[in-house]
Amino acid sequence: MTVTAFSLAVGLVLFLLGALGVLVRRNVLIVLMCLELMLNGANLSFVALAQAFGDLAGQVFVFFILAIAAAEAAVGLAIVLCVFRNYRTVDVNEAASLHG
Amino acid sequence: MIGFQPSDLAQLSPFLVLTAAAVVMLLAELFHVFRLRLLFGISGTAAAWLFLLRNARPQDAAFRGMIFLDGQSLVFGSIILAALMISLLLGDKQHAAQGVTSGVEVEVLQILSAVGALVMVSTANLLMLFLGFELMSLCVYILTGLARKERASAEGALKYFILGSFSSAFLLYGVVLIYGACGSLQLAEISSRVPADNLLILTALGLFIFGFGFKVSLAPFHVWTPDVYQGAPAAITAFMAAVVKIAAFGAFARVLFGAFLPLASSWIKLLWVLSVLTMLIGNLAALRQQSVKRMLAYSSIAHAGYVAIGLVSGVQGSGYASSAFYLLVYSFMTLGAFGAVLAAQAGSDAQYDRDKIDSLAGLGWSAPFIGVVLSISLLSLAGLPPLGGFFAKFFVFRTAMESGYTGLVIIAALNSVLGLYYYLRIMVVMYFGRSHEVRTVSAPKVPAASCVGLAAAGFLVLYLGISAGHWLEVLGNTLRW
Repeated sequence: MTVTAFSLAVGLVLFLLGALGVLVRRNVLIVLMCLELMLNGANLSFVALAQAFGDLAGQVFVFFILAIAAAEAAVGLAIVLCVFRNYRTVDVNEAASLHG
Repeated sequence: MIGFQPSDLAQLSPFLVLTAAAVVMLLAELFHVFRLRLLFGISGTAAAWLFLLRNARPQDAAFRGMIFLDGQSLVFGSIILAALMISLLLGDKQHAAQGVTSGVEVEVLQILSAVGALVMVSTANLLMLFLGFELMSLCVYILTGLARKERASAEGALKYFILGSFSSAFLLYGVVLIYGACGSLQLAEISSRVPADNLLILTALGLFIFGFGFKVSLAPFHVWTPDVYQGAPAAITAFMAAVVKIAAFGAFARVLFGAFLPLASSWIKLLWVLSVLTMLIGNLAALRQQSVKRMLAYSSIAHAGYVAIGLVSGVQGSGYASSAFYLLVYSFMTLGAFGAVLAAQAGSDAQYDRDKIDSLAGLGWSAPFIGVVLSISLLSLAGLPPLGGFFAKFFVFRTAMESGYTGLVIIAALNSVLGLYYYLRIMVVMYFGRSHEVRTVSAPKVPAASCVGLAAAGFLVLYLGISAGHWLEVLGNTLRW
């Protein structure tokens, strides 16, 4: 197995683990971590592909994703805080008054 | 590797102007120049639009394809900026009544979100597309949760944030797959290198449809829409329903026609199914809603289905132009509807559940102006002539017929009959409903700016109906640049 194929496989596994976590876990903080995991899975794949192609575009993309992930974490935590103040819980299932 | 020319900066100017307006507004807040914020916002948006008009030219990419101000950017960018302007007007001085902090951040976040939307529709590079996508989305997540003391607002923001980030992560993985299969992030290069019937690229296409379908709320990916639209403050819902949808559809169309054209046969079938599902689910669910905002949310889902018809018939015929015209009319009628609901809520006291359809009882008589704008918007959403909504539907159906999608048109036409029921229901309540158990009907005090916004939305819906043919031609010609 080449380094590229291995890195791509790890990237895919990370991404899928993150996606599974978002769907399964009920604690918002864990869900946030899983979202980061998905982005990092994509990051790893980008780096591996850029390395294989000898093309910088993929590596540059990773820097932008890192910045986006940071912004996303900030916004996400702010929203979690807001939910906690209203509902006194960070469980996704309990914060559910809208339906129909 | 060459640097950029000074002429590239001209292409960048709409984005710079809009961002500068947001920064100036933040600074003005710092120095307590509160009164001017609407003026700043409106003039900044208008200036950005002028720069967009001046600098858009055919087939001229700046920064090596990162910024691409062509006809498509001009069309969708203009709709986005017009929608931003109207939603700034509608929300002026109304935010406090909606439980939103009265700081300038509401306007600033809307403007920054529109910058993201503008980037999305005016780039031919997947990196920039993703950046614009995230800039727009992150701002809208915050906007949704800005009514911090309201449980519904916080909950809507949480749902939107988690599901939105989830879907954009999938979109990102789609970009990874395309990069892996084609070795490029430029749409034009991808299009020439797309291998036919490659499992990798078909997966990428699926992930793109998931990511964009989520943002425009196509049917299986629509579940967040009612909760978020209902939970968010009404002024923000208006903004979301218009700007986010236009930007996502604009970028979606550019990716489909720009990069995935060789795979058209696969995504046309998929979009056909999604469009039917979206129309059915949106219209059927809207029938049994008691909350106005929730009903309008389902209606906006249904309208995404109609726009998708234009994309389905866009490869052979002039479906793209009819989709763009639909989005143009849709943005004004949805702004008018949500804006009127917002204005109506200004008069009712907070103790009553003012989101119920019944709370609009007697509004047509107590506040004739709001009633008229709401009626125009609803009739147009229902697709009655001679309003813009009728011609939007007509053009979309006509191009679909010409391209041979008769079945799709029949389903869509039946759906718009369904829609008629729930739109007219609001009007019946508004003009003939009894307001005994609800509240003593008092005329809501609507700020002047809000009235201007409502009038503009109502007028544009009427005007686009009267001169529909002309504008369809203009849009078609501009898109073909």
